[in-house]
Amino acid sequence: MHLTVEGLGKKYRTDFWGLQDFSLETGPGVLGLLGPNGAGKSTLMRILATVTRATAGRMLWDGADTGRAPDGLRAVLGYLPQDFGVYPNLNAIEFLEYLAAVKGLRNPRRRIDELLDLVNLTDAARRPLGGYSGGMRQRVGIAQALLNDPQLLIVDEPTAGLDPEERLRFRNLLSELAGNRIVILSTHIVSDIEAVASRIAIMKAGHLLACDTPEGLLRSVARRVWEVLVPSGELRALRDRFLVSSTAHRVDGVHARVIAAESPEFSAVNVEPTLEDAYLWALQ
Amino acid sequence: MGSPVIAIALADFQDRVRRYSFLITFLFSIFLGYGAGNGAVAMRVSNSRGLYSPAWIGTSVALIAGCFISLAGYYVVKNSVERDRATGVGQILAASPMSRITYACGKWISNMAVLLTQLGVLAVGAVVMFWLAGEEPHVNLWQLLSPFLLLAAPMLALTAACAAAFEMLPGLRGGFGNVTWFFLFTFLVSLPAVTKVAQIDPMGFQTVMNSLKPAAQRAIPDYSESFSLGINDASLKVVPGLRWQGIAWLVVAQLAAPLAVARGPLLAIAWIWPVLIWSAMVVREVRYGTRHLIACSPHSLWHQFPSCWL
Repeated sequence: MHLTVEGLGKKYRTDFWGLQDFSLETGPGVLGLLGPNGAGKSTLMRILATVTRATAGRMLWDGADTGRAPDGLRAVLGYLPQDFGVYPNLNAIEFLEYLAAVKGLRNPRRRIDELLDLVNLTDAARRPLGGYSGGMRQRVGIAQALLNDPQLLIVDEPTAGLDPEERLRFRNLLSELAGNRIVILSTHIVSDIEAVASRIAIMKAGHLLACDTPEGLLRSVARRVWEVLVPSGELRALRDRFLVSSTAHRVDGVHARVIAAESPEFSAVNVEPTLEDAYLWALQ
Repeated sequence: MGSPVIAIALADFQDRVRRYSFLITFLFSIFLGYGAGNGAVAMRVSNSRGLYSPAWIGTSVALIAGCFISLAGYYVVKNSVERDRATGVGQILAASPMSRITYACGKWISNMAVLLTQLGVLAVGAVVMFWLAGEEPHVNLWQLLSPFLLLAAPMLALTAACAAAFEMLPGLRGGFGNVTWFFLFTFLVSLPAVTKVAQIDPMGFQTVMNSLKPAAQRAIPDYSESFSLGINDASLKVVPGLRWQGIAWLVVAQLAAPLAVARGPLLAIAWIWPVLIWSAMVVREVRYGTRHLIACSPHSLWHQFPSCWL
């Protein structure tokens, strides 16, 4: 299985491109899409999920153009949109049975029971979805995306609304799933991607800034991350001059993590970069 | 839930009938059925009514139901596509292999199921009211219920289709569609009064009038062909001699497809139609790659033919 994206673009208004000249190739594994709000991640996800048509470029699934014949991809696609709702008066089983039928699955009940167990909703399966919390609905969304055991799984901000335990559970699930399928995971939370992604694409303002393995991205900021000790009164001045990825207030002052090509000052100590540093460096 | 069409219809139907708004319209249907059954809201001829025969009560309630559920029911069911759009479920559906026509058919059937449920309540109400009225000792269920099936249900199918179609057409999605339906409904209701043609009569008024006319002429000396449907007061006169047996549906069918038409185009279509089945038999197997499976089966053509025909 192979997904190729060639020069994808999406024009929303006469002068506004939500996505522009986006190209990448990916095979089995987790591809993490990182970017700030408005970077074009959801636009890209909707195009990849064949929900929205691209204004420019094309997408190939195993060599077939999905713009011309989307059903080949749709049959093996699982999609969890960012803004996803439910029919409030159906219970989880009824809702999943409905979506299973829409996806053309026969006798889905066993699969539904497995998925409800996987997302820890077996006990609440017969309660109306209208009474579910945000996190529970999100788990129903994850279950529906996995109904047809998809070869391409597209999940847009999947951990939004999940508590830390569920988030960890979902990360582990994604890692397990990624072995024999392509998973595209979009988020703005670096730690979510760091834990599972085999490749990471960083986006900003509709453009692809970088696409590499986590190690490759970390190499891009090697020897560029510094820890600087400054009095708290000078923190603002430091932020104005340099890219500060994090700060920690301690008794001796503020320990600031600065990303810069050259040492920001004499006392700066070179430290190991993190993916968060690489992400901020790429966005700069 | 095998077929996507049925799946959409069922999920949509289940979601809607579990809402309070459905319960309210359901209760109002019962109230309306009561009003139609006891004569408060019913049909009349020349300011009189006939005996409460199965046909009279059935037709009366079915016409009222057809009008009310068609007009108000449109606004009840016209939100299911919008709900998919608003909740985001539509995005999941859009990413599935389901075709647009499947989606549209599912929504249509779901709309129809909601409207027909309300019609069903009124049909049951009509049976109850017939027993309570007690003006005729014997119930003929066909005469009582056939108006629901053959007069009201087709109009509700049209209403359900319009509700689904209006939601999918950009210009008719919002308030303009609501206004358009009101005027379209008024136009459809007034068609028979203008044209006096039974074939152009979605509500079936002209068909009922034509059927009632001979019985009314016999029972009411000064019958002026006046027919109305609405709220009645207590002064409504009962004509004991007016015992209407209902619409002769075979005659209506002949009117809808007169013999000349049946002999001509319909007969030709009936002859040509099997050709489409025969030609599809082999083509379909090639198209779906099942020809080898079929060809190696015993008596393949003989076994395949009846299944294709059905």
